[in-house]
Amino acid sequence: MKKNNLVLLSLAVLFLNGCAFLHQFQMSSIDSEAVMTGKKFEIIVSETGVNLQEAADTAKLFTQSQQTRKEMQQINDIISMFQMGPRTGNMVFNEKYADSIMRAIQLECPSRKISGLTSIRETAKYPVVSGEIVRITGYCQKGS
Amino acid sequence: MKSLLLILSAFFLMSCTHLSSVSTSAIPTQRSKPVSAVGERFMFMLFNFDNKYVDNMVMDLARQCPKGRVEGILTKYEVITYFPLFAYNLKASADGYCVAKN
Repeated sequence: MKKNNLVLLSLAVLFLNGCAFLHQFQMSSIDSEAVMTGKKFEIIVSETGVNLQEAADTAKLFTQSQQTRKEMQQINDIISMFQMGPRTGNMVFNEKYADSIMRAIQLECPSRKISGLTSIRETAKYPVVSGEIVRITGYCQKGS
Repeated sequence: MKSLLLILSAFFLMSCTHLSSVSTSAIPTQRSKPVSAVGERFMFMLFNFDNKYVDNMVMDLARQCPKGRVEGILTKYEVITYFPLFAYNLKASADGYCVAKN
């Protein structure tokens, strides 16, 4: 029973570790009137990220063969050599997922003043995969 | 015993601040009225499920400058480690200048 509890606790820690990591945030100039009287909007774009090291480690759990484990590690090491350099979050397979933000902002507030824009780059981390998120909040001035 | 103490002291002295992000916008000529806002969250055992603590900072700055504009905003995002693996503080700060509208 105690062993089962320990396993459950370990699994809970593993899955509850779906944590939010903030990498960067940036703020534009603020027109106080537009912010205080305007309507707040939020735009979120995201892409699935993959942690190859965790994927390789998980895959190793499903094989008994030392040779297969070694080969998996070698594959991971080779891929890692092409993933060097500074980065935020895990690798994604489509780097253009944030390109639609400008259009989305214009759609939120088509003809009025936009102020107090905050850009947030964050990661929602889960085992092996992650959500690589760009979140924009801002205020759309009311009236003309 | 000494080596154990050394390891433990190294563990405790490891508490530090990590600056993740810095940004600034155009600096105005009127810099007589500085305003600032901070968003913080204490993080226990690396559990943090959202980053909403930064969302009210724009409104905080606007309230400090109700009839003008806030410009020259310097933002910083820091991760402060109090005790590795157990206690962290996530701190976002924004400092700027309240400028009268033309």
